[in-house]
Amino acid sequence: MKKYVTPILALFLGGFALAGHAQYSSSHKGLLWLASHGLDYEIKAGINIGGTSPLPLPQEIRSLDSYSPGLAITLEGNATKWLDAKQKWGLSVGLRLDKKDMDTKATVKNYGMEIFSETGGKIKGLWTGGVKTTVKMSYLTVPVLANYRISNRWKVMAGPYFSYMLNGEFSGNVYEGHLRTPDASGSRVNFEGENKAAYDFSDNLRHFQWGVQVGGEWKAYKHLNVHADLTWGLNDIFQKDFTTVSFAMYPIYLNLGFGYEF
Amino acid sequence: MNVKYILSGFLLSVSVSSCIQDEALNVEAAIDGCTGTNIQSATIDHLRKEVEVYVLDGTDISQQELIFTLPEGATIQAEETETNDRPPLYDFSQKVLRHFVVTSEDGATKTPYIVRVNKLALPTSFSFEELKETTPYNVFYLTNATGIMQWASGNPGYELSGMALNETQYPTVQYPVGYAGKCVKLTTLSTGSFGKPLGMPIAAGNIFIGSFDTQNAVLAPLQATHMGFPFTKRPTRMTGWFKYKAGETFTDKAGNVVTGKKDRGDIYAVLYEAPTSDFTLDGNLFPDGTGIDEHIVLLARIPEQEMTETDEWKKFDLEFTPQNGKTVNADDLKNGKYKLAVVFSSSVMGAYFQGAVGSELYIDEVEIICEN
Repeated sequence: MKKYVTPILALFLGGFALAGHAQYSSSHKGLLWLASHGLDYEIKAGINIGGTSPLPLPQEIRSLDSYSPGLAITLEGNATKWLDAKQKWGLSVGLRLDKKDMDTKATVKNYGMEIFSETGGKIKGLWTGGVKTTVKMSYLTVPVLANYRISNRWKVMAGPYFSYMLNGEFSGNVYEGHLRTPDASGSRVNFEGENKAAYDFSDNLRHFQWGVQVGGEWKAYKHLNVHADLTWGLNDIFQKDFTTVSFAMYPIYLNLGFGYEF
Repeated sequence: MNVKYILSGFLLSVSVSSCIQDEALNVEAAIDGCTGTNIQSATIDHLRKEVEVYVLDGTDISQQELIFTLPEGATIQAEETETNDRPPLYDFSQKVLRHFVVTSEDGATKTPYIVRVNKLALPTSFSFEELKETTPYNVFYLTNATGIMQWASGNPGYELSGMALNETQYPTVQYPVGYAGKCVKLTTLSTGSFGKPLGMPIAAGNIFIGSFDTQNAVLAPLQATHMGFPFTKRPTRMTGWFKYKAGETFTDKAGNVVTGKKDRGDIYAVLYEAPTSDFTLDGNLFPDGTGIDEHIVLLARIPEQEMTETDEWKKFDLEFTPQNGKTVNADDLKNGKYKLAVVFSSSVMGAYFQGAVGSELYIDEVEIICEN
């Protein structure tokens, strides 16, 4: 699925650009028409910085030892329909290719986990020690936002977004600690130094995710905008019947970037 | 109304709600270890929650010291106290089997255990007929008669690989057709994606007199096999029956194929000096596969040329020969200063994770012949 998305998005964005270009060449008629119908088009590019985290942090997590965001690029095309004559209030719909990446190391206590083998057998128990987590997700996202123009240069947007996860990775390993298996009264297995056990919950990620987005945009030049958007996931990234991670996790990312407005 | 305020408001609420909460009390409740004066060996059965403590015959067990290793914050208590109990000294003279309860730090997990103090007398003939446990993996009684002592194996370690879906998929299993009655079948198996990155790509089927320490199964697998029990007679020969078939592809510790190398099973018994009652030799009896541990006094081991592939039951008759220039001291022998380890493995270098997946060793009707 993923390999088709980039070309689709490129076509989508290209369509905008071509449309814009065509309108230019036909002596601004198109733009005038757009303006007279209260429509703005924009393409945006940015980076996502943030994390996928339980909220609030559960008691199992004792400390966050390291965090590094991956290079997560976003591309978006959107259209805004201004609803009133003064063009203060508007509604925008976009299509965005979103990446949300991060790497963290945390120290946990009695963190429920399961490790599956290739035979389908598994080892499960409570982990106390270090956990390294890598989250890499690609989404196709549709934000539906209310727009309010504060001034000629400033506008703010807020509303829900709906994401389809094209592919996702949630994996990592456990290190420096002990596993109590299969439960709190089971046997203890120590891990130290180079001894690590890998886990991979990628197959348990939910494909449909949604949340809210709040942001602002500042018009730097006639066609160039700078934006900051906070996206906050409101459903657990894991499927409902997945119980190994005992708490829900939500992606919370800040998107910073610029856009070209036609 | 400024965008910055809205954003900073949101970011603030994220950071506030992301604060690390107060640490929860520990939920773990288990016995991770048991030591004490005069204890020759202690085996912990995590499945049945039983601790078998072995002391020499003639030991006073009215003040038996039991020092339990417990999870952080957990406590242990005898369910019914005896008047002579002075923890960690417990009176086992009235009842050799007593009930204990481990309570987790948070009080929510309570795990009842049976602790039994046994006078040790190692049997000398083994026919692998009776199982103490069938699931999740087979655990063999050492003899059919006493119903207490059990053979140790690497099965608890293999359980951690998550590879076995039932008891027949473990390296050490009972097999219905032996030389006489049932027998034990040892198979070298792959440990899959769990074992390979840990430098343990295979698990040889093994069965031995001693105990397996699950706690160190991953960390120090060689040290997790505690070989031997005290033995008060002088062994002269070890006899028994075997069948062997080597697996096809020999692999090294990293899981890489070693072309031209053929796997081979191993059968041996050693009598060794135990300077203290809690001393045991671990899986590194023959350092690098060719050395010999300095504590070993007598060794009976199948020669390479006799450990051949065979579809028919083949007899082995191995003589205990002196090692390291040592002799057996009769007084020390009587006082339990020597331990006997009997070991069978489907891959001779299995302790070092070298061998061929699919190697099979069947063992039956083993006997340790001793001087009168």
